[in-house]
Amino acid sequence: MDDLAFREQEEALRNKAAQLSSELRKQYYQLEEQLVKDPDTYAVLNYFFAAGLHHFYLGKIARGVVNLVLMLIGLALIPYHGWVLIIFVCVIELPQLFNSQKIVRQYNIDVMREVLDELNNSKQNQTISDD
Amino acid sequence: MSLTIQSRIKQSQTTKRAQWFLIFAATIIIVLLSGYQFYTKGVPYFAEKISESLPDEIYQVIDESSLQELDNSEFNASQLSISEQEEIQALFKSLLKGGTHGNRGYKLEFRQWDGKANAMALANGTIIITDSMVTLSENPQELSAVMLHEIGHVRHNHVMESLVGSSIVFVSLTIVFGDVSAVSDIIMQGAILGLNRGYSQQAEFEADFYANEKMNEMYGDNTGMISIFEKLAAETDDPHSWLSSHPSFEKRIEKIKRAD
Repeated sequence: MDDLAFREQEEALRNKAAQLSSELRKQYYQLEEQLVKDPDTYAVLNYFFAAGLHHFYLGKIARGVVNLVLMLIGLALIPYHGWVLIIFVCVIELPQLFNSQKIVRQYNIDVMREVLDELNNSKQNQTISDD
Repeated sequence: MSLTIQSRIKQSQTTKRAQWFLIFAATIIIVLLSGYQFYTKGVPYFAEKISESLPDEIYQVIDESSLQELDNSEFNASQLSISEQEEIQALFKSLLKGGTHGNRGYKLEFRQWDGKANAMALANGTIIITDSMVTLSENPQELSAVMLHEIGHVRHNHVMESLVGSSIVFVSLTIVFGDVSAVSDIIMQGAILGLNRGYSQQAEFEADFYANEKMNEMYGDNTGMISIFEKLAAETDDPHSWLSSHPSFEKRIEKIKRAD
């Protein structure tokens, strides 16, 4: 996905948020502050050992654990060509370093879309119960 | 604020804490394991490879400057007679016959060192033996064992590998800690001390095995080696500790006996 497509998605989210009532908008921004991730932190955690730390940051625990375990096995078996495993993990993870901006932007868009949906649902539920 | 949103904020805070805990725990594990592997496997490996690739001129310069430094600070001229020195030089040459000890520039030097019975090898094959060590040795076998042990150090390139290993640790820690001098100094001194202690004890055993093998080839047994070690053990006043650079003579004798 290119930059323009991201901008469009973010703009759509901003527009949707603007349509919320002031109370819900406040809640939306409170949640946004809690949930969005920083691409630079993700990138630093990625190149720092490529040991799955960036996956933990985005909450992909299973993939992070797989990376970490492979890295630890590689390190423990260094004298028995364990470095091959380390290079393998690095090769797999390296493209994510260069795409960290895109990956984190997409993650933030997905998360905030989910929050908006949730807020809209709670608003509808509130209206139905009031009726 | 609705309960759903409140619980969502609380949940996200808990998740965030758990994620950062995982990140810190994984970082600590990875740093410790990679540091340990680098220190115990990487440093000796690179020290060996770098030492092998260094030109002979560097070995020669290190030998000359080390001997000059020791002459200026520690050693005094030998009091052994010329005939005694010639006799030992002849024995030393006979040990080098066959050219199985590598291509270093072997030479034997005699010095006095505060009355201590000792011998040492420098990187390029200069072997220094003290007058007290010559006096302590009662026969050519014992003297041969001492010289073969030092030749073993040169053959296994222990001196240069130890120098290069310390340099690798120094450079690596400087890269990691930068100019935080107090912390890095403590860690660096500890790391180099640990490296030298572990490396030195292992090097002593390797040199012992080398000398033991050559003694068996030359004299058919290693009694000369065991007897000189027993004498040196009796001479040593310093209590052996875990920080000692050399293993205890008792341990060395036991290992040699076990190797036969």
